[in-house]
Amino acid sequence: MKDIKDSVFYTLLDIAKLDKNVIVLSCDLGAYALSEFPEGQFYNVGVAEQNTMSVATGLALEGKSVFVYGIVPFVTTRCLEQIKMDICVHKASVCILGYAAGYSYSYDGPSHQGLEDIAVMRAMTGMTIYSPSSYAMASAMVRSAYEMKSPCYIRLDKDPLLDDDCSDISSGYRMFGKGTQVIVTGAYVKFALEHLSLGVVDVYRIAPFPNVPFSSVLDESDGLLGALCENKFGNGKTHTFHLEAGSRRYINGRIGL
Amino acid sequence: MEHNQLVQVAERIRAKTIAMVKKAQGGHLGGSLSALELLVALYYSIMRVDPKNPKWDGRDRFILSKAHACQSLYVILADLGFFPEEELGMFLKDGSRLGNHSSYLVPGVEVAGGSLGHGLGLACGMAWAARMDGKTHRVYCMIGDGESQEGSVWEAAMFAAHHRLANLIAITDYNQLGSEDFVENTSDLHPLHLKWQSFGWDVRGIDGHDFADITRSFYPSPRPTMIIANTIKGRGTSLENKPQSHHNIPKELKS
Repeated sequence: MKDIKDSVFYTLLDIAKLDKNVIVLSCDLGAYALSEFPEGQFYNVGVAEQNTMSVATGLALEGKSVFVYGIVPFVTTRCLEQIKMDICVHKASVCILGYAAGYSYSYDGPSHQGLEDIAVMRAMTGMTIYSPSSYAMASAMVRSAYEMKSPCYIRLDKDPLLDDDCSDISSGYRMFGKGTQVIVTGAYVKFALEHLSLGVVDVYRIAPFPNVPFSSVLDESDGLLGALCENKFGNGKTHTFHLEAGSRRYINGRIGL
Repeated sequence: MEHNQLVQVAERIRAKTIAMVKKAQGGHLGGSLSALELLVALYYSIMRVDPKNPKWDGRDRFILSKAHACQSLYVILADLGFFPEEELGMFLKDGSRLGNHSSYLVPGVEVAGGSLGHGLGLACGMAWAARMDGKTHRVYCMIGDGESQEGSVWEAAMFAAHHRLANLIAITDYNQLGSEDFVENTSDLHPLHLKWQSFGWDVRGIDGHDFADITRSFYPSPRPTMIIANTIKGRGTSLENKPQSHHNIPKELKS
C-alpha cells in the first residue's frame, strides 16, 4: 500500500540530489527515504520544534531551502510564535511538513491530533497551505514548495489517498461529479468519493484560498451541501477533546462526522 | 582601534542615543545604554562589516536578539555610514524604518526582532549554514538577561553546543533588570555562567563597560562562546539600575 511519506520524501530526495542547498530537518519523526538523503542534507534535530523553526529561518536567510518535518500540532501550534516572527516575517524559504492531519493519530489523544492547524496557519501572513488528496498531488506540492521559496505548510494525512496522476495544482481546487456538492480536503476526498453519493469539491490549497466564486461551483452542480472536515470550528457544536482511544472512524462517529 | 579611542566613540554614541530618545520622547533607553560599550566594541573593533555593502557575503553577522535595545545600534549604524545620520531624527516618526524594535528594513540589521528568545536560534541557523558552506565569517548574537528566562534560548543553547558551532559568539547583556523588576525577583538566573557552562558553551565573564575587558574576551574556541557582560541598565542617566529604565524617559530628558 502506498504511503504519503514516500511520495513526499522520495520527491524531496530527487530535488536534494540536484540542489545541495536543500536541507531537511526532522523533529524526531521518521520516514524510509530520509536514510537515503545525501550527507549533510538531512538532520534529526530532536524534540525542539520552536528552535528548529528559528534555525530553519537562519538557514533560509543564508540561501538554504529548508523543509521541517514533524507531527502536526508540534510543528504548528506549539511553535506558532516562531512560525510567525521568524518564518513569515522574514518570508523565509521554509516548508513545514505536518504529519498527520485531523484525527489520523486517533489513539493518541489531543496532543497528537491536528485540529487547529488550519485555523492558526491561515492566520500566518504569506503562508501557503497545501492539503493533498492524492499521492501524485503530494509530490507536486513538494516541488511547488521548493520552487516558491516562501513560507509553506503541507498537511499530510495518514489515511489512504487517491492514487491518480494529478500534477497540476495551479487552481487550488478540483471538482468530481455533478449533483449536490460537499467540500472536503485531504484524505476525506477519497472517503467522500467512496462513501457519499455526492459531488465532491476537493480544496487542496487552503491558503491562498482558490479565487473562485462559489457561484461557479454552483453553476456546475445542483448545489452546495456544506463542508466535511475534522475541525473543531464551525459545526455549531461545542468542541470537546477526545482523550479516549479509538479508530478514526470511531472518533468521527462520536463527533457526528 | 585603541581602547581610549573606543571610549571616545562610546561617549559620542551615548550622547547621540540620548539625544535621539529625547527628541522622540520614546524608546527603550535603559537596555540600549547597558549594551552600548558592547555594541561599540563589536562594530568598531571586532566585527568585519561594510557600511557601503550591508549584504556583503563575507560580513560577520550580528543579531540583536534583545531588539528593543536598538537605539544605540541605530546610532552606531548611522555613525558608520550604513544610512544617513539625519535619519536618526525620524526615530519613531510616521513611516520611519527606525522603530521600537530593529528590523531588516534598516541597512545593517539582519533580522526583525521584538519577540524575545528567537535571535539565538536564528544565529544558530546562520552559523550552521556558514559551516556547511565552508565560509569563515562569524555570527554574533546579543541576548538580554530577562530574555534568558525564555525556554527557547536554552533550546538554542543545546543546539549550538550539540553541533559545536564554534563560529557562534553570544553575549548576554547582564544588567540584572527585566521590564518591571530585577530578574532575580521574577525568575532568578543565578548562577548564569554555570548554566551556560553546563550546556557546553565556553563562558567568559566581563565588565560590559570596560573596553579592555570586552576586547580581550573575543578569542577563538572549539565550542560556541558565551560572554556574560555585567552591565548597568540606563548607564549615564538618572534611571541607572532602576526597573523604570526599561521604557521610561529619564526626568532630565522629558520635554
